[in-house]
Amino acid sequence: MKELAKTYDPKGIEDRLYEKWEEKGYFKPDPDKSKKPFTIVMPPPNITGQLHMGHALDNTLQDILIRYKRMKGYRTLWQPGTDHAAISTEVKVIESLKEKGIEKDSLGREGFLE
Amino acid sequence: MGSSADWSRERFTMDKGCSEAVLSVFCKLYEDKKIYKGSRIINWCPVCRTSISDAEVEYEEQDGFFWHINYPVVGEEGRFVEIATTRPETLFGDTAVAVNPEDDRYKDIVGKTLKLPCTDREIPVIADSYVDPEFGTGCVKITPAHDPNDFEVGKRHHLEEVVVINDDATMNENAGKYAGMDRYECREALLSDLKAQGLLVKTVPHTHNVGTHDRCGTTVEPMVKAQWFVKMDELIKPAAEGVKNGEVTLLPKRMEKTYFNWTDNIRDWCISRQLWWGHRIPAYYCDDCGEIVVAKEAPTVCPKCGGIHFTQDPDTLDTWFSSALWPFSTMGWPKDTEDLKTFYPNDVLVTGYDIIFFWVIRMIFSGYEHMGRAPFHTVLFHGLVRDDQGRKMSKSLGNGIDPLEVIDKYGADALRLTLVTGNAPGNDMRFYWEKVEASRNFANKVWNASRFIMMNLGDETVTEPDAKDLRPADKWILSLVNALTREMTVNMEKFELGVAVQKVYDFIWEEFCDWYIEIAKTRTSADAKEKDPSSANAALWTLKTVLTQALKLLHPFMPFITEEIYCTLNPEEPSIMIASFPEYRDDWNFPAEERTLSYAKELVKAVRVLRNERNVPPQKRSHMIVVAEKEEVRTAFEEGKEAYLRLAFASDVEIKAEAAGIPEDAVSVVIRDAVLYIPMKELVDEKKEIERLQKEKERLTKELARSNGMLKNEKFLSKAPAEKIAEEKAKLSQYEEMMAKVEEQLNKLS
Ligand SMILES: [Zn+2]
Ligand SMILES: [Zn+2]
Repeated sequence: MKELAKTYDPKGIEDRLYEKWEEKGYFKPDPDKSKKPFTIVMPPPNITGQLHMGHALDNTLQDILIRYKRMKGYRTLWQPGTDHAAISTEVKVIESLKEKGIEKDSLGREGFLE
Repeated sequence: MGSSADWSRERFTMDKGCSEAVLSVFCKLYEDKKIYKGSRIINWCPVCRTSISDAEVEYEEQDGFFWHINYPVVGEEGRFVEIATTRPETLFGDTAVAVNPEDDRYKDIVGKTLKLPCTDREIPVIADSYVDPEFGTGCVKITPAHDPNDFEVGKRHHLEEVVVINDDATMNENAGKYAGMDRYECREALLSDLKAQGLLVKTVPHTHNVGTHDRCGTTVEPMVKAQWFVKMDELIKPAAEGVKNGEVTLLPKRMEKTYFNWTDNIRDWCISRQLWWGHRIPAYYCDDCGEIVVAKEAPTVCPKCGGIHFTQDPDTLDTWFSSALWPFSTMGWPKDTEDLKTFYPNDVLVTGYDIIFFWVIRMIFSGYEHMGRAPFHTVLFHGLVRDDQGRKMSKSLGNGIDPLEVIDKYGADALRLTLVTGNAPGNDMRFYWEKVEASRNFANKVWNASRFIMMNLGDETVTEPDAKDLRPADKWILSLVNALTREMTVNMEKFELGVAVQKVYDFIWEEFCDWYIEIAKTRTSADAKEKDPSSANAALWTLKTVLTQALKLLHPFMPFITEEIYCTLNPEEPSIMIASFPEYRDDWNFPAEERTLSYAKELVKAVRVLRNERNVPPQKRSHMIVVAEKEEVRTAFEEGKEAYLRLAFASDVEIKAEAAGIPEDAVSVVIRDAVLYIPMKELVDEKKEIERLQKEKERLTKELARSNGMLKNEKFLSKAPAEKIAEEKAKLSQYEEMMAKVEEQLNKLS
């Protein structure tokens, strides 16, 4: 029989297993279309504006539900994505431009978006 | 974190598909007259230089003042109207003073004209029932351009809207000599001028609610601006109805109150932002005649005048406008895709309760409006993760904890277990490092137990035993894991994730590791395997089967450790994450064995306490007598023997119906439905024990004398460092405690 490592070392297993799951395509919805779908859309990370531990909780709860339903035989889709966080992004860009001595208006719309 | 999201489908609110969805929705709503452009009072952030929606305004109590100012009545020398304001600098935007029509004090001045102090303007006195005669002086200055209520009053009385504050919160030319000053600078200057002119009556301290921008904390300035709005009155109806009739369930249910409070008091949604980063509003203005054309693409010819030059609206849309479409824009809408048919409506939305207005409600009404159906059937709200003192984690407090740091130290599984343990929908939780440590300890426990089981399994092939070959303990643990499966499934379906994880945690730690593995040990040793191979096979099979099932139940919570153990234990299996979640089975329901083992456990616990109290060395075994009146209880103790004999350090057990013939020095303990007797002599060699205790007493007497002496020695007390003295004091109290115990034991024995 194969043996487990002598001591539990999460670093030694977590990255390796995550890679294996992704490689095998387990995160994609099951190709079997006869299965009942179960879908969760992931809140875009900027949306909450919460600090990181909030995302960790958000993600943990969603993943628990998705993994449970997947094992229950559903065709699961957990849809990820990001939002463009207009205000906070634009304010950050303006601040970093200011540090360089550039005014937003002097760049013009096209230049700014670049 | 182990998140099993389909990253190959990752989307972005500004990617091609999502932008197409935004354009379609904007054009459709405009066509249906549900989007309009209007001059409205909006919340303006002078620092971010953009309008913000009501949901982004945070109200906080601030200490401020009511300044009472006299406005002279024109043509009546010496007569004034006294108003009270918290914002004197908006005086330049006043276009009336209002009184309540029923207010007798002011009936005669309605229709008269007032001189606006520090300006050359005159304004009328009007009557409007919005004014509360009980509040302040009963006279209210009306500034339609800078106050939402005044704006409404202004509309009713056709008052002019005079804007006096610039986008950056400085005063504009309408403020006369104060132009160019910051709004607060202007306030000070104006107040001192009013005072000089004798028009400042008094200054009264006052606490009031001030709107601030939730992102930057700047005091929001209400301003009249031309903005784009979504008309909410019709759109919100199905969204409110959907929650009322149960098409959408909010968890916890108390969130409904918050939800309906918003839907009942809905105001039109200001969607334009004076930003460049975002979806640009698809409205084009004819350069020649000013006609507005809303279209997905820039028009070529003006439908009104035939002109061919257009300028696009410079504003962009509120980010939430695109986020509101997320449940279907990510599935391919507006195209009628296979994905859309399969995955819309979604099932569950998991999010923090703090964004119910920004996001959740908007997704719900957008789903009804554009898809004809709610976007999901359940919203699971969770609370905030606070620090160990219950404070919000924030950059300014510096009390945020980076999940990556936790994962680096303890692993993702430990972090996940920490976050879900004790989690109840909508409740805030506190983050303690000690909890993460406890989670890691649990992971260690699972790991070590699994290793032990695998070592016992060795290379032998284990076969599923016939039911008759299963021992009571085997049936008991199978029955428990079976009941656990049923309960957890119920909890999971009700989104009680914190309850579910606690159950599997307790099962693995206590029932499986602390009891079953210990019980099974006697049957799986090399010796035992030879003596009773059938019992050994049953124990090994049960160990493997129950461990495998427990791993599956634990997998959603701790994906990594369960996968590693599962694949090592069952090398023929590709992955636990695509294994089937266990199901309840009728043939694993063994109530009789559950009873048997519950008696066995109780007996073992009682014996442990007894022996601990008397310092009995573990290798010392004893005879045991169980007296139980009821036959079925005696049967249970009979059948459970194999399970408890070793754990109760018993050489043998005698099970009787009556307490006759029991040695007089036997110690008795009452347990459920029975009394347990252990002959004392077999436990403790009295003479030797007394000798040992007396020696210990002598040693402690000496130590006490030494310690007491030191602590009474003035020299020591004055010269020794404080830690040293504290240390000695601690030692003394420890000796005293030990002495008390030794004396108590001696008393018992003699
Ligand atoms: Zn701001
Ligand atoms: Zn035109």
